[in-house]
Amino acid sequence: MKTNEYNESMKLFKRALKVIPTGVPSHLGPVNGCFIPIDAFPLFSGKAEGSYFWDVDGNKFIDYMCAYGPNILGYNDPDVENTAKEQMLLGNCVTLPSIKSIEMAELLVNTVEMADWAFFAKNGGDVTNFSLMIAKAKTGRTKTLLIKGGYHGIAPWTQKLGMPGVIYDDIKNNIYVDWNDYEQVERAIEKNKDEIACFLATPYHHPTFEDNQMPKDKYWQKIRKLCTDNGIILAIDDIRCGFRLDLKGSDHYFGFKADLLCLSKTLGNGWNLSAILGTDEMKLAASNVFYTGTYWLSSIPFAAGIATINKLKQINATELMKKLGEKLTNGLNKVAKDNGFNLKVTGHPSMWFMRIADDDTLNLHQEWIAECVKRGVFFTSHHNQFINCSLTEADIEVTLKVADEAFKVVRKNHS
Amino acid sequence: MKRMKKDQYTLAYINLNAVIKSIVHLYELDKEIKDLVGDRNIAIQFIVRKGPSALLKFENGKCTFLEGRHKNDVLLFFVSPIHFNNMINGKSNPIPLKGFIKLGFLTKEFNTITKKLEYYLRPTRDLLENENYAKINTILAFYTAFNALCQVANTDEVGKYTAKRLSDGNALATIGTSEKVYIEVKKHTLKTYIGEPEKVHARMEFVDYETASGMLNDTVDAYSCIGSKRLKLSGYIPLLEDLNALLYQTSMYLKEDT
Ligand SMILES: Cc1ncc(COP(=O)(O)O)c(C=O)c1O
Repeated sequence: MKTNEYNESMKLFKRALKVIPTGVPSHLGPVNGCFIPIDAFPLFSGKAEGSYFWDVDGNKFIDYMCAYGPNILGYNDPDVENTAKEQMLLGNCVTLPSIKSIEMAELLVNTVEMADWAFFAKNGGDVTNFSLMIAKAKTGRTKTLLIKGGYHGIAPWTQKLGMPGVIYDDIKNNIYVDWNDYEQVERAIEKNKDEIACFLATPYHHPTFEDNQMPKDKYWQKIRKLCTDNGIILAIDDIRCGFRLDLKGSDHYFGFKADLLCLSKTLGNGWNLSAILGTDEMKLAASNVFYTGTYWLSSIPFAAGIATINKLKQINATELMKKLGEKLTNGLNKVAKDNGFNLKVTGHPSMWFMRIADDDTLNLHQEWIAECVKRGVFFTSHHNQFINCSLTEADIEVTLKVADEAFKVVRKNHS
Repeated sequence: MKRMKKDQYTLAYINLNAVIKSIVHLYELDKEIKDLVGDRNIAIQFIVRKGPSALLKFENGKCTFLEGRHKNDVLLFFVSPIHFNNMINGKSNPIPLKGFIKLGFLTKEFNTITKKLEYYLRPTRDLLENENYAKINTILAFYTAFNALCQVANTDEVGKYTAKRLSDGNALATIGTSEKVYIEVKKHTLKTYIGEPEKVHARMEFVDYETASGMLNDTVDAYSCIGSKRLKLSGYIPLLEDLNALLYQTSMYLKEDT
């Protein structure tokens, strides 16, 4: 198989470095994105369609990062894009919101089981932050229970003390507990009686670098009861899992009911939009908090969001992605085994996490991912991957062929 | 209150276990220093009350550094971390408790050594133009930075907080094939060793002295180096991110001090 070259990407990276700190910031960049080694990875996209993107050197990739989640129907989905274009002609960011904001809220309330209302913003972090403010407004308390290793955005309170720009005061109201450890939560609540406003967690544990973990049997049911008994607001950060597990909400998927639910990544198939959904009981507190942003009620993303959700329902998206994910991950497992590697797959099939489990220095895994990317299959090393609905069986076959050759190259390099 | 400010206690650890410790490398790199010490054997014990202690030893043409208290010829006592930090800044003198006979060495040779150390660790643009100077500066700064980072992780309040989230493992930093230092994280305590460990969990590789120098002296940024493959990161990246956070905290100490 031919392997990619990235001369144009590299040229652009040098140009970007002059005018943008780090060139390509954060998770899309070579450091946080773990582009190891950097010359195995493209850095700038030229265009995208369906399950693919082409980089600026013209290399084509089957994209399993899906823009870190938003691509759920396929890039440039015609139904979504045409709706967006129609709305564009009517105006986007205007002095007054459009009817689309109501329609979108109605659609979400009718789709997501726990929701009685919806409030909109742009990024996931906008709404995780809002969930804390609502909980504090509602309870008059100060502290937040969080899961160690969970990701909720970039606001100072979500970050790690010691990192540049983060000070102790930013995180002093956080209490961290281990995932799936109910007793720890119980003890933390006991120790901080009447001080905890909110328990914020993802529906299942999907950290980077570590195997993803599903909730233990009855974990969420017990946490739900504990929160109710102690007057703590249960907020679920469904930003990554949302609509990939269940259109009715990931709390519904795991058999419990959240007080607040944060969504973003899949809402508009790439159009910028986030939402916090709540129960009636949370509505007054949500109304009382001052929270807004210039672009939050722009209408194109709502129009795109409505089209996205309707299509997801119409094609039974969650079932489709689950099946594709299972087919792909089973295939990857087999290819790994055939080459003498132990590939460990965790998480939900539509957003699986994988790692070569034979080597805790991570070298083999990073090499394998790099060899896949060089051959046109875009995976990242230590973040979960994503399935989108436009992925085909043929794409899966190509992916498995690439994975197989990549395993062989790694094997050869180490024999 | 966990503040990001310089505390004298941590600074004393940095000054002894990183700055004074780098004399070991200076001794190998600067012939003048080696000649100055000559064939004298002398073991200098530093004791900082309510602070660090360590032994700096010149013996049979070798210089070694050992943390803690050991058999010695000269014992230098400092009543507090501030007292020690002031000595490093040239603002106060130690109280020699033992080894008056060898005090001559302290006032002359040792003074020259610390002056030389300062010369190499506080570069100017002009000095860095000199290739030999730049190389010595880079090597000393390289080892000093990693040693200092460990002191911050083990003693500074925010540093300890950072160390608390580190899991066990080894991070290796290299310049080309000649300089190698690794940080061992074990039960949230950090320690440096020269060389390469059996198992490396994260790697930070500078291709050459020039790259390391640029990074250590803040004249190039890491991202440009990564883009041009002069700096390679691999393995367990979160460990490098946390070490980088510690380096940032360390720079707060070293910055205010200059
Ligand atoms: C679980 C989770 N929460 C919150 C966020 C933050 O979302 P955003 O980057 O849109 O602010 C993300 C983004 O990756 C996420 O995965």
